[in-house]
Amino acid sequence: MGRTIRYYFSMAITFTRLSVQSGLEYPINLISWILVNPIQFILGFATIKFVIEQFGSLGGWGYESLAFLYGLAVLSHGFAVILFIQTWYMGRHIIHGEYDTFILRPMSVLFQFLFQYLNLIGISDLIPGLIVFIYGCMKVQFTCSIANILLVIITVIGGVLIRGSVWLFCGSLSFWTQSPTHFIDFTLELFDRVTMYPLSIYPRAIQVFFTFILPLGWITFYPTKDLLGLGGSVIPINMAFVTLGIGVLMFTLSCVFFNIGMRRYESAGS
Amino acid sequence: MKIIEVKHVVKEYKKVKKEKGLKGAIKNLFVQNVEYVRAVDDISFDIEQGDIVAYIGPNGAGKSTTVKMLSGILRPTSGDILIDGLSPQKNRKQVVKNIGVVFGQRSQLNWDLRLGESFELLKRIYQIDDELYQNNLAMFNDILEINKFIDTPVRQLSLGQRMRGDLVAAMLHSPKVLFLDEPTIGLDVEAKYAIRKFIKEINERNATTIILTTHDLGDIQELCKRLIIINEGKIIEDGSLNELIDRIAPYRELIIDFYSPVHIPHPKAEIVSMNEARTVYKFKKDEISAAQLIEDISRLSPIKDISLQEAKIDDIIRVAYKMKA
Repeated sequence: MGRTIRYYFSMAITFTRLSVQSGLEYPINLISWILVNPIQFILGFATIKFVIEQFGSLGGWGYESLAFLYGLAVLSHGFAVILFIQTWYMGRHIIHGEYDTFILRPMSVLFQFLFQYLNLIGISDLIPGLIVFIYGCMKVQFTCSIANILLVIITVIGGVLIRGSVWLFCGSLSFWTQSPTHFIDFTLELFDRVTMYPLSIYPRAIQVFFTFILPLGWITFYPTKDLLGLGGSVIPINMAFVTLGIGVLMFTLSCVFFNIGMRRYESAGS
Repeated sequence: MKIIEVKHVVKEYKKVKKEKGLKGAIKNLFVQNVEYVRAVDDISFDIEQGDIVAYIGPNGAGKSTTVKMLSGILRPTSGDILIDGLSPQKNRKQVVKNIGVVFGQRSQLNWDLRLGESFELLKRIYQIDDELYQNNLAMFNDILEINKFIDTPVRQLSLGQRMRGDLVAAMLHSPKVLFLDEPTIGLDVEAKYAIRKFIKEINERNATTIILTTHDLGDIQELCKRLIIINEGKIIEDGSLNELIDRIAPYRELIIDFYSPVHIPHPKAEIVSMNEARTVYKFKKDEISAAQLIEDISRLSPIKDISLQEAKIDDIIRVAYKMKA
């Protein structure tokens, strides 16, 4: 067990190094993404600022808390894009039989798939996320204690796992349908709407849906409420841990779903 | 020792028949015309350790499907496969440590990086120890001269160089079995020669078992003692090339140039053509030897020149492909 973990950990580092090397083969591509991609998040943030200036608050949330929430959302989006963007194109990999090579190596197929195509470009989502998040932290005068930083890290890990699980689940559907993409734009839109604004602006039924059925509210909304002490918590555990728990559970289920799908993998004619 | 055992393996594919036109496209949404196609239809064979076996057949016969099942990529619909005693489907991670696979149409090398980088990645994935890794690389370099382009990015390699790279990549962990799916497709004479030499060499040195699918008859003639022919998912022939020749085309042709146009028949040979002083005889190997035939004829008329022609292998394969199981 210990050996296996050490093996996969060292392979993760190797694959990451190779991704960086591959990315550096095409520096202009990398630079153009890093220059252009942040614009959409800056504009998104500017929109929120405008709305707040007009109406004073959003679902009972002030400008400072919203900046924090928005920053946290873009941050976990950035990490999710680095680790899981491949799953958006899973259908195409499946139809073109590109898992053959992974199956032929003595290593988890999903691990190879995720790490072989590690996406360096995701850094261009991560940078604006960090900037907005730090700005939000300053605005709400977030106490940078070790406990608080750990809670933020736990929230981000949980949030990244929740996002990745949804993508992985949607991608794995291609094993059954043999068609290239499913719900990707739709889930992206959902993540944007649900994680970047407080869930409390939506009607009750929608809140329930995103809390219990498709638990996207846990990516940012509930943990932020706890982190900023906005109240309304019904359970004594910190929401960051609930986020992590949900993330681990969802990711495990998605992995199982992927592996069931792999049994239907048909390669491609050569 | 049997290293590969295949018992009654079947692979069925679901094929959906589509109707044409817009009306058909709408109808397809609701009514699916499903058909089951047997790409591989109840095949069985064993392969001994150290053998080189050609697995051949026309396009779409089920060759690649078989190789993909043997290497664990596809699951058979029914039947059993054992590689060195283990099922590649149930014990994938164990089995793949013992096999290497090269698909001529696809590369496992990292497109963006120098060739050596892919080798080093494989060294880590298979946890190959330094000594074995260095020895293998040195030995492969002797035959394939990969050091000449080991620092070139894979995207800039020629097809022949890429194929050499893929062969090395598949053999780095010293597998007991090597599957080659059309390894010489599209290659020039020089590259083909190097690859055949490599296959022979690893077979001799390490007793690596090799299963080769190919359309190149030169590959078969030079490398393979045993031939398995598959057509429409069924094995129609399993034996040595010579056996096949003896059965399908037991004839040879003797071409004799005389000094002047003469007509000399022989009871055990048939005259195929006569043109000026040249006569072509067709005879069965097991009925009369070439030496005997030449001796008989030369007694009747002086011979200026002779040549002997074996049945053409591509004719034989063509005939074999038309046979049914």
